[in-house]
Amino acid sequence: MTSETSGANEPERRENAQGTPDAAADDVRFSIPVRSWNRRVATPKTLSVLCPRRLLDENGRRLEIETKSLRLGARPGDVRVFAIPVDSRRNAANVERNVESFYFFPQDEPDADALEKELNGAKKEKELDGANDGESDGVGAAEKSARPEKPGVPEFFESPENPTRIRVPNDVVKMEDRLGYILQPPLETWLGRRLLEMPFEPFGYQKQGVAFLYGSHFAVLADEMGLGKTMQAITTIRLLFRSGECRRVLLVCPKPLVTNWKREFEFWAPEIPVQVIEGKSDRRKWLWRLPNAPLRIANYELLNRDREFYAPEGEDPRVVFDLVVLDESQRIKNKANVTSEAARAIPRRRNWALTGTPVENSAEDLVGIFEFLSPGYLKSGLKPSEISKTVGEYILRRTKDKVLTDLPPKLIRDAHVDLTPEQYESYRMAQEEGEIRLNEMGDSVTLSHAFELIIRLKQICNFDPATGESAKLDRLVADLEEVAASGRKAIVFSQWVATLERLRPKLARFGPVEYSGRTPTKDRDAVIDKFRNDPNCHVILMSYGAGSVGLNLQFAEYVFLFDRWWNPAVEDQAINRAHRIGAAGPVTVTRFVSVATIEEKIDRILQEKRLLSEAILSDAKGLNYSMGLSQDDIFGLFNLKAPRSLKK
Amino acid sequence: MTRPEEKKRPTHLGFLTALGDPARGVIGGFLVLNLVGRPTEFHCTAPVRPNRAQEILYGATLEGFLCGEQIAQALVGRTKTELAAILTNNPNILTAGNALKAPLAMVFRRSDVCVAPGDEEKYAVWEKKTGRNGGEAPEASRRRIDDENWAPEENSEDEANFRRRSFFYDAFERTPPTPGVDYSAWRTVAKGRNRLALPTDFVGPDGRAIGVDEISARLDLFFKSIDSVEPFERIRLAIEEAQKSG
Repeated sequence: MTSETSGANEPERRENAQGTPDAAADDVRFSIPVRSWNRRVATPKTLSVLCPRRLLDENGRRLEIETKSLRLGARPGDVRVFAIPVDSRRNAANVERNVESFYFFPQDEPDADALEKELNGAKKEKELDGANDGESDGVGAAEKSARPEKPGVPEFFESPENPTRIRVPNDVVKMEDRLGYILQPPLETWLGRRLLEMPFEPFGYQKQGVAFLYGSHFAVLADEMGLGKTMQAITTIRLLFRSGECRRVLLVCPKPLVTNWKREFEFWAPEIPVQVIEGKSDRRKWLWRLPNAPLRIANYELLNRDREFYAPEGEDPRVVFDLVVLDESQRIKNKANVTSEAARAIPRRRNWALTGTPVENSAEDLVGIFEFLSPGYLKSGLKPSEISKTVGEYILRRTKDKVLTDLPPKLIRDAHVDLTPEQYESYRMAQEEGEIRLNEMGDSVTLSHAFELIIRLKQICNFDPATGESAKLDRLVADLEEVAASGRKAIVFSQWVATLERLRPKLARFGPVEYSGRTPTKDRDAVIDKFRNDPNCHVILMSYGAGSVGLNLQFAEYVFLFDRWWNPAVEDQAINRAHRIGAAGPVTVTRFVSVATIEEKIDRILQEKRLLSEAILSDAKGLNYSMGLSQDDIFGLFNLKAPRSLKK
Repeated sequence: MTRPEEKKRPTHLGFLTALGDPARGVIGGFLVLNLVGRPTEFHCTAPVRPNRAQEILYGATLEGFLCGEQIAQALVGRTKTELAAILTNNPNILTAGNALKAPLAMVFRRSDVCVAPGDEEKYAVWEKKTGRNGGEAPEASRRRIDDENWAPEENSEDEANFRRRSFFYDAFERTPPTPGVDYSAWRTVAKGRNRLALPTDFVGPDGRAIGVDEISARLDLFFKSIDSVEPFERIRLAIEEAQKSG
C-alpha cells in the first residue's frame, strides 16, 4: 500500500476557463491524498499447464496429460504434449497430442477473445453433460442424489445476497496482504465462473470451509467424517492454482486412500494433472524432484523411506512445495514417531491437516499435529480450555447435526449380548488365570502383559476357542437376515482379520466380501465395486485398520461393530463410511457389547474419551485434562493398580 | 491499418464509489477488476471534508462536487489500465460525467424500486402500510420489480421519466435526485437482475464517440462472470480495513 502524505484537504490554486487565477476558486480545490494497492504479479519463465476439461483420443478414451511446463507466450495449437489413456496407463504407448486449448497457471488474466471462446465452449460442454446425465461415475453418483440441483446457467452472473468471502487470517498483519484477501471475489463469483465448473453445487458450509482454507497458511480442517473435507481441500487447491498462489502441491494420505484421492481429484478438479509417487526408487526420486508437477500424491509409508529425495541432507531441496496437505493427520499425532519427523522435514511454505478426529486419545494429539503445522505454536501440558483458546482460530470443526440437518439420522443401539454358557465359562477361566498371573508378576508386569490379557478376553467374547460358539454371531446372523430380506447392505467391523475370516463362511448366504489389511491393494477397488453393485452381496467384512478411513459407502444402511476399537474416534470414522453425504436413509449402527465382560468396562472408558474430544473442540470447560486409556485405566479393568515402576 | 472494431477489447473494469457524508468526511474507493473478477488495483482516499467556503459556493451541489469532480478524478487518475467502463453506485459521482477516461455508468440493484409514473402516491401509502420490504407493491411497480429484464423503452414515457429521475426511488437510501446531474445523458439497460444507466454521449480519450450499444457489449463479457453490484461491498470492506490502519 503506498500513500501520498501531502495536501490533506489543502486548498490548491485553480485557474478558471480563461486560464487566469480565479479568486473564488482558491478555497475550493482539494489535493486528495490517495492510498493504493496493486496486485503483485509473479512472472516465472515457465508455467505449468492445466489440462482441458476433457481430452479424448480417437477411440473416445479420456487422456491424461503428463505434466508439462511451457514457456510463456505459447499459444493453443502450437503445443504438443504427451498424453496417456487413463484406463490403460501401464500398457498403452504414449500418444502425442496436439492440444487445442489449455490453461496456464495462473489463469486469472485471460484475454477477452479467449475467455469468450472458453465460455461458449463450456456452455456447449454443459449442454452435453446434461444430455449424458446418467453416465456419472461412482464418486458422483451417491452425492448427486443428496445435493440440490445445480441451477441453470443464467446469461449474467448473479451473486447471492450474502456471498461467502475469503477469510482474512488474523496472523496476516501487513495492510497490503490483508487487502489482498479482502479484495478477492467471493467464492460464489469464483465458483460461478463457467471456466471453473463444479460437478455439484457445494453446500454453504463447504464454501465456508474453502474460504477458511484459502487464506490459511496453517490450518486444521476437522469436520466430522462425511462432511466433504476432501472436496473442500480439492476445491481450495484448485482456486490456489488458478490464482497463481500455488504451483506445487503435495498431498500425503494413508496408502489405501491414494486411489480414492486420485479419483476425487479427477472428479472435482479434472483439469489438474495428478502424479502419484509410487514405483521403484529411481522413479520415486524422479517424481519427487520433478520441478513443475502441479500436484503430487504420496503415502505416509513412503515419507520416511524417501526422505533423502525430498529433503536431502546437506543440500538445498530441489522442490519446495507451496502447500502440503496431510490427510488423516492423526497419523502424526505422536510428534516423536518417524512419520511425524519425516512430515516435518518436507520443504514447504504452507500446510494444512485434514482429520475428522484431531483428538483421539488426549489433548497431546493436537500438539503433535501443530508441531507439523507451525512448530512451537502449541506447547504440551496446556489445559483443554487453553488449547481451545490457542488453536481455535486455526481449526475448523463442523458436525453433521449442526450443518447437515437434512442428513438422515444415525441410530445407534448397543446390543448387549449374553455369552453362551460355554463361552462364558471359557471367558471366566481365562480372566481368573490372567489376573492371577498379573498379580504374581508384581512390579515386573508391563502394559503389554495387560494388553495380552485384554485381547485374549475380547477374542473369547467374539468366539469361544473351545467350542467355536459365538453369541454375537447368532445375533448378527439374525439381524443380517432382515437386512438381506429388505435388499439392503451392511458393514461389519472387527479389530481382527482372523475374526473376519471366521465370520465369512458363517455368513456365506449373505454373499460377503472382505476388505482388510490382507486384501491386496490392487484388489481393493474391485471389492468395493462388488459390494456396491452386486445385488447378492449384502455384507462387507472390514477391519478397522483398513476400512475405517476414506471410503464412501453411503449405500450401506447398517453398520455392525462386532467388537469395539480402543478409542471412539476410530469407531466414528468407521460408522461414517456409511453415514455421510449421499446416505439414502437412516443408518443403523449396532455396537455389540458382551454383558458382564471386559467389553462393558471398555465401553465406559470410550464414553469418557468422547467427552474429552468434545471438551477441546467445542470449548467446553472444566473437564479433566487427560481421560485417555491411561495405565490406571488398563490395569483397573482387572481391579489391579499400575505398578510403581510404570508410573515412574 | 487496424479498424476500430478490431482493436483489442479492454479487459478491466473499474468500480468507483464514495461513502460517508460531507459532515463526517467522504471517502472514495476505486477497484479495478479483470475479466473474471480478480482485483488488480485498489485506491482509496482519506476522509474529505469541505471547508466553509466550499459549502457556501457549492450549496446543494456540494456532494456532487466532492464525489464527482474531486474524488472520482483523483482516484481514476491513478490507474494506467485501460478500462472498459467505470461503474458507480453513488449518484453523486455521476457529476464526473464525461471527464473520466472511460464511460461512467450507474448500477441499480433490482431492489432499487422503480415506481411508475402516477404511482408515487399509492407507493407511499403502501410503504407506510406495509414497511419497505413486505406487502404488495402497486400493480405497475410490482410488474417492474418482478420483471428482471425490465428496462424503459426508448423514447417512452418511462424513459422520459427516468431522464427527469422523478420516479427513481431508492428503497434503501431514498436518495433524492442529484443536483447537477443531467439525467438526459444516460439510458438504462437491464443486465440480469440489475440495471445500468449508461452514458449516451461518451467520447473516449482518443476522441472517438462510444455509444450505449458498444458500452453495453463491452460489459456483457464481464457480467457473465461478475455481479455488477457485489464489488462495491469489497470496496466498503477494504475502506474499513484501510481506516483501521489509520
